[in-house]
Amino acid sequence: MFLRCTYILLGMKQHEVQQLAKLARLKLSDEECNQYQDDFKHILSYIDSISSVDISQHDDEHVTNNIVREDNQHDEPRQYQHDLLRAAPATEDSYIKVNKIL
Amino acid sequence: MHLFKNNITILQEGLRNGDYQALDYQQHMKAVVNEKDSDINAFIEVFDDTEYTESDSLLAGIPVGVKDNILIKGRQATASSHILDGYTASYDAFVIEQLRNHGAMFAGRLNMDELAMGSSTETSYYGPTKNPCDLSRVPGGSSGGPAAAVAAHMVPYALGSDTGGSIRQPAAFCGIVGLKPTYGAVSRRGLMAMASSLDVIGPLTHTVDDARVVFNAISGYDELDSTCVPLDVRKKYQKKNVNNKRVGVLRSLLDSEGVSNEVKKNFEASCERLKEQGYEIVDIDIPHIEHSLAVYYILQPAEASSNLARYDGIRYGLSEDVDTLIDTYVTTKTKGFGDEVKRRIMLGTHVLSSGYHDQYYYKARNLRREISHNIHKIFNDVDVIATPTTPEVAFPLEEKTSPLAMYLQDMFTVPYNLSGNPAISVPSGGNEQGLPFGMHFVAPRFCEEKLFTISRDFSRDIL
Repeated sequence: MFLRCTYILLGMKQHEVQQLAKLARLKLSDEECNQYQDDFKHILSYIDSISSVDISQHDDEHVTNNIVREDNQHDEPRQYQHDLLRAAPATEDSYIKVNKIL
Repeated sequence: MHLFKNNITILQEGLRNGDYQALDYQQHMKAVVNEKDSDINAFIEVFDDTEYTESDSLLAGIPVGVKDNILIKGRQATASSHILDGYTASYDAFVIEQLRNHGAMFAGRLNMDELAMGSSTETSYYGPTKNPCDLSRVPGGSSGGPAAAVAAHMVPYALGSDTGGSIRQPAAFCGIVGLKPTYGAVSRRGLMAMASSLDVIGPLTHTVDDARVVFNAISGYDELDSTCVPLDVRKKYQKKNVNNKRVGVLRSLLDSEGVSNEVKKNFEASCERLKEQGYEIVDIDIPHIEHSLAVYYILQPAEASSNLARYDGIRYGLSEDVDTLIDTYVTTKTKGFGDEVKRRIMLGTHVLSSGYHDQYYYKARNLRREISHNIHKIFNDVDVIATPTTPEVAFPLEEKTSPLAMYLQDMFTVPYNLSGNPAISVPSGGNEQGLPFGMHFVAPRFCEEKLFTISRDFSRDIL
């Protein structure tokens, strides 16, 4: 049931949490890292309950298909440019400006 | 004078027979907001719009509140997150286009859990929304603003979104009607994506008939949303719209730990009420449905971690002035996202990362298919599934201190986001403290009419 799953405490080490943060492009303080480490311990224990479930493969009734359209849309040049560029924090002419990569 | 206690039909009559003008409704909306919203905090922004498209629709001239993750062209939209500070929508969502054509008046932007992550509207960058039934309690989430605004009669109806229960649970907590349509029935174009295979837009209203009117207005076909299902395909599923008045109750879920006794008692009373209306109540079992929440908290963070990658300080919203590109990403996201959002992004990153994706993501995806298959199959035996909407009534602000305690609020609602079935929460009385209960019905895909029928029958002697 929801709360009565076997409570195997799956922990993540501090450096693993920091690695996740790095992958997610986040910077965590040590205190935050500890808090998330604790949160993940409980959440992972809970979601790990699916590992014990034995399931057979089914033919999907609802098969997913890729939906595409013909490449024949002819918008006016720059029809949406102004509206889209307006949202960007930094622009120059008709470009979105970004910081140097290297 | 609570004009918006009236349903949409009565409000429209008021306009057509000249008792009121649309401007009167708009001013009434502002008056109620002025009176109540400093305590409730449902609205992020109230609009001054007085113009609307002339239309024969029942919705013409009537104010509607919009959850802050649905785009209205020219209006700010932040999903109650700091990371979208100052963002102005460059296009209308499909549902907004539809409502515009129906002559709706957009009342304003409604508060929500940040980026739709939460079940209490406590994670909003604009502060929590309070439950109009008891200001010390949460309205539910993530569509807490929409639910509170409707419950407090600030607007007659609102649009919300539901990924794991985010329309239905706040509707239950605030004592109103909340519909999650079938996945694919309402275009997601212009809804800020949280989990693309789970998100659905839907109405929050006072009455079942109002929910039906709004649903019919917003559920057209949109070729610009590839997950929106064409109308002729929907018709094939609607063969199951026949109502044989057989209701399946998920006994096993009801007996789970965490479901309060008063909720169970109210549910049993609700079943009795249905029997009096000629419905047959049968116990059903759906294999693996008890794993729905775990499956959801793998798939949803995974999808969200991908969808939220776009909020990086480059094309919109918050952008920190730093040296390099990578610094832009890190500093903007660290500053712009709240704790729960960060938690779910990292969780999603983890379940998708190499070494873990088989164990978590792919397993969850397979289990989702299994659960969905079992849910669809049960409709060969019953017309609708019934459960309580929530395991408890609206809880006090700041009570749920652990993420997991919050996640468990979705236990009854979440399976049908996985399977795509339509589901509705209708008011089912209240407890001694006046806190509402919600009754939850689920129907076969594209059979929203079945939900409206049983909900109408159920509400007959309550409302």
